[in-house]
Amino acid sequence: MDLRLFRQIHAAKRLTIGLGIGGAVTGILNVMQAALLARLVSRVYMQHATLASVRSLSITLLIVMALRALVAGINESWALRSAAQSQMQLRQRFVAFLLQAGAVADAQSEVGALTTLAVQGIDDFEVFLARYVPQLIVTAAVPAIVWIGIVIHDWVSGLLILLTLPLIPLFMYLIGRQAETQSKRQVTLMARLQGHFLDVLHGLDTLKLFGRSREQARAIYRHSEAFRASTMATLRIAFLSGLVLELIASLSMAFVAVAIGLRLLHARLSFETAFMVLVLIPEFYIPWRNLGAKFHDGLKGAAAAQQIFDLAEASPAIASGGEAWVAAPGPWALAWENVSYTYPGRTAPALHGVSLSLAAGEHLAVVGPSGSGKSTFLQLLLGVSSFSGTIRVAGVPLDALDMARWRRQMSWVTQHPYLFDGTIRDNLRRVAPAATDAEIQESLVRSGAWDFVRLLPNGWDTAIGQEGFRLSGGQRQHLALARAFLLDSPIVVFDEPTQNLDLASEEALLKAMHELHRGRTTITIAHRLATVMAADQVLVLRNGEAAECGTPEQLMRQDGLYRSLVEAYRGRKSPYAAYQADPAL
Amino acid sequence: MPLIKLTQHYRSLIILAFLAGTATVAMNLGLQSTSSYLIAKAAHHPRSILLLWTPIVAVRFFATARAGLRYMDRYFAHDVALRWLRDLKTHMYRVIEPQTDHAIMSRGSGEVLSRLGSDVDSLQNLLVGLLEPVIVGIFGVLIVLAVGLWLNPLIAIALTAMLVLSGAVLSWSSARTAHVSRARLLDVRGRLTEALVELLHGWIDIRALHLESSVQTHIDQLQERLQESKRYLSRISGFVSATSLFVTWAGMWVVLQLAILEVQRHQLRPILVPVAALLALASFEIVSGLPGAFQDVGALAQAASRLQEMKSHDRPADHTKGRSVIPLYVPPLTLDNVSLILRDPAKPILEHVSFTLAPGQHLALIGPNGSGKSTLVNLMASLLPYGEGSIRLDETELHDWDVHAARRLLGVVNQFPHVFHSTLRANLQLASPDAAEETVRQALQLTGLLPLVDTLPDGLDTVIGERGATLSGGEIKCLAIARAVLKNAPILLLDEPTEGLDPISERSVMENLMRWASRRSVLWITHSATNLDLMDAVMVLKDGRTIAHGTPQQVASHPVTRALLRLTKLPESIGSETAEIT
Repeated sequence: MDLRLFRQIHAAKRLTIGLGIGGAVTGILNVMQAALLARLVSRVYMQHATLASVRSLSITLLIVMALRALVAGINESWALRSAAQSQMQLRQRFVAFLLQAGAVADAQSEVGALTTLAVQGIDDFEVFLARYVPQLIVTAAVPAIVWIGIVIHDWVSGLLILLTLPLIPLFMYLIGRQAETQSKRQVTLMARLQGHFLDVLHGLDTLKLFGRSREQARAIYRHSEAFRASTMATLRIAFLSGLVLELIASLSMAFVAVAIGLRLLHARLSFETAFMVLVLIPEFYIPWRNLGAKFHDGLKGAAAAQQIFDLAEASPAIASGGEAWVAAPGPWALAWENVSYTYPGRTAPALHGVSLSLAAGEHLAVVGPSGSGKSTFLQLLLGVSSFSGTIRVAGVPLDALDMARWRRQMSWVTQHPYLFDGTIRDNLRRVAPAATDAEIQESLVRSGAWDFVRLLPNGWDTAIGQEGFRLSGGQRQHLALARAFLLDSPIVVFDEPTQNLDLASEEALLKAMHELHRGRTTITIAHRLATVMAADQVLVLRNGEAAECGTPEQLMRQDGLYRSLVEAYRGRKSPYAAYQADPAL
Repeated sequence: MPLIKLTQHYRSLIILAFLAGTATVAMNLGLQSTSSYLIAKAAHHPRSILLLWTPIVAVRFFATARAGLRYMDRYFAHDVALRWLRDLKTHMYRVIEPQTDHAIMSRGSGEVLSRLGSDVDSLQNLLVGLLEPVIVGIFGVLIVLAVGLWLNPLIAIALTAMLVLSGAVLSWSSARTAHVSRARLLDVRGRLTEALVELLHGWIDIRALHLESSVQTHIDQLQERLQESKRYLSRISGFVSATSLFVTWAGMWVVLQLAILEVQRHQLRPILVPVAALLALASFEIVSGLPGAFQDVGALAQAASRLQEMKSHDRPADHTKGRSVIPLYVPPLTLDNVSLILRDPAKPILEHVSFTLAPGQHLALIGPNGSGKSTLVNLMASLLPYGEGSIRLDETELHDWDVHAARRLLGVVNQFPHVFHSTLRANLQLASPDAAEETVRQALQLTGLLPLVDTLPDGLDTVIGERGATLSGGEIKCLAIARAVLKNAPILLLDEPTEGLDPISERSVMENLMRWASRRSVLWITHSATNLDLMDAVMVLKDGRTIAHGTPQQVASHPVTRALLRLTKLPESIGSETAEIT
């Protein structure tokens, strides 16, 4: 198990200590219950005691039983509670990490994987803490105490049990190894087989269009059958190890029972002791069996925790910034000098040797196919992680700037504007706490958001994110623009904000964006040629490198991608030749 | 329940699993009682060990048999569950597949389908999770009653009564707890998930706007609420397990007291006191599985009734009788006065739409979101039934076609194309299973995906993530285009095929595609007015009506469409300071 778990998650430490105490008390109560039961049965059976004469013994037994049940209940609720708390702490660490770390994910797939980790992974971790860890601790504490109880009364039986003991960890190990190879090699395949049904259902339209929907019934059967076969193959071995474990337990119990019987026969043992040992033996083996059954819970949860800790440790160095500040007020000239960046854990750079200078108040358009490094180019400007090369703001290197102050100089309008639960007014005020209502309203009007905000039942006091009220993509973008107007920052960055919007929404948004351009330095990841052609400078990225860079006029003079694109629009020349000549695109 | 009929081919396996489960319980009862009998007998120092021989053999037998039977039980139970899941999936798919109900088939049905998937998954637990513990419980209690009657009638009746009562009470409280916990956790858990997803997508915004502390507070609040519910539930859960443990032991205690009383009254031989005590202890294990079984009983019942309902619904099926001979030429596609009302009669999706896609014609269809463009494609592809008007493919009404034959004439790229969680090759060969490697590569070259595929270590055999999670939106579209090209159909229906591509790639893909389709008919749906120079004709759709139809030049000069198109007009002087984009 990962030691970082106990170092970093306080509740996990408390859980372990609490369960350790609980386990020890349970073990002691187990022995007491067995001893009392044996005494009671023995008094009746051997000494023909009456019900009245064993009354106090009976009542003590009942009290011990009640105590044991109580401890078990407390243990369980304690385990669930601490597991929930640990899960919360782990998720908090994860959230804090996401908020502080630099560029953690560039591709869609990684965002997906992180989401799965944040939601499902941490839930698995909770199951691991609530079910597996308690069982582990019970297995460590209870059999030991039970064994001591047995040895004190009858050392021969204790010795016999001890002889069977090494077999148990051996088979536990075999189960574990089996489960681990299975989880590594087959889990992905199994998940695919299992998810096939839903995948086919969601793709039914597509299948129908290609005339393949009818034959899918057989494919579903085949996939489910393959899933069954491979699951059973792994289960067979897991069950077989379980069977051996069970056989050891059963046979040991039978063995001890017979041995006790024989020793009783020769009067070397009292009935009371013999009966007590007989009652205690199952208590010795049951925790082991349960632990084996919960092995999978343990595996999954521990893996999730490990992933999160690894992620936090492998995160890129955060750009710490300095104390310096630019003397003149913005907008400023920006210069990129040989800027390169490689995501942690990757070999190929996401951005390589990009150099470019942008005068104060100019507009830069960034073009390129997906994965060419456009988003990375923008993210580095935010100073979220350290990179090689230099970005200068009016001559001052970015890493010398006061980062918190620098970030306040930029507004971002992205494809996924972040809005939190709360009213529209709250969302804006959170960005600019000093803004008056009049200023907020003005920003809404200028961004074009007022057109829909005023029609809402509660106007700008409408809570967004609550059930029953959802903003459309275009409306969210308008609110993001309103935030930019309110911030009134000298630099504005647009990350494809008009993607997935229809004509009318796009038009409204572009109007507002155009107004935001005035007197500010803007950088836009462009999906529309009109935006590109209206820019002061164009950067064409390809595989992380600046394929072309310059003013639109300069690019028109070069025989490159940009020119072929524009000419294609004017119907003069096909860009196809350029693509043929350039197989990398 | 009729769905259970699906198990008929392996009913014997089910019976075997249930028998093994019951026998395991019986062996455990035997082991506990014979071993206590053995030592009780031995304590009386019989003259010869031979007198102990029978219990010794019995103890060993029960011990071995218990382990073996438990293994059999688990093995067959899992096997049966997975077979049942397999048949349930196949059966439900056969039920769903021919239906044309737009509630299932049209977009926005994701929820219905996801629920179907999770219903099937939860129903897989019916046999093993619910049925087996109940059946084993019933038979186990009967065995206890039989053994008990042989011991002493009073003990037998008391023990059976306690077993039935505690089984019922614990099952009920467990179902109740599960219900409460679902109600308490579901909503706040969903909102927490949503908040985390938003954080992951919007972290740039959060950093840039200094919203870190707001986000942290928001997530902390949700976590706190979740925590509160969990604290409450952990108390209940602890209480339930303490109670169920205490019931088990108290049951044994009562049996013990009764046994002592019966010994006093000479109704029971003293040697049977320890036997009765351990028998009672073992018998409570029979009902200990019930609370777990009833935990999901509510959800299970709902899932079963939903599946049943989906089955029984009398939905229109795809029309498979009709013309099945397809033409060898490019057939015309004609829409005449097509109207469609889906939900709100006051807001028809389409109103009197008429046009002809002539053989070899390349027609662009422009309109804002919600103007009915995608619905039109679904109608033409027989994914939606049309009520009013007429759609004719090669002069034959669409109703009168065998739907499979009609679809063979169409190569479609949906607005949200589905890519399967499988290899790139499998996704492409959906269109043409026997397509040669070279043909597949050509189709990829056309959409510009080939260089990307060649950089992948596994090339065409790369598995793409669930719903294309490892691809960008533009790449998914390109894959769908390549798939439609491979189908080699005479008519192409493209619903925003280049959405998500940058302008350079978009131009290239459209040029290649139009060149490839020079002799085919193309209907290209778009919401931008770029690349229209590649088309023969343009039609503008707004609020379900055609508002303009003509050559690209004619449409561009049309007063109504001017407003729609003006923002996409390119600046005349490139890069000049006065370039207007609005």
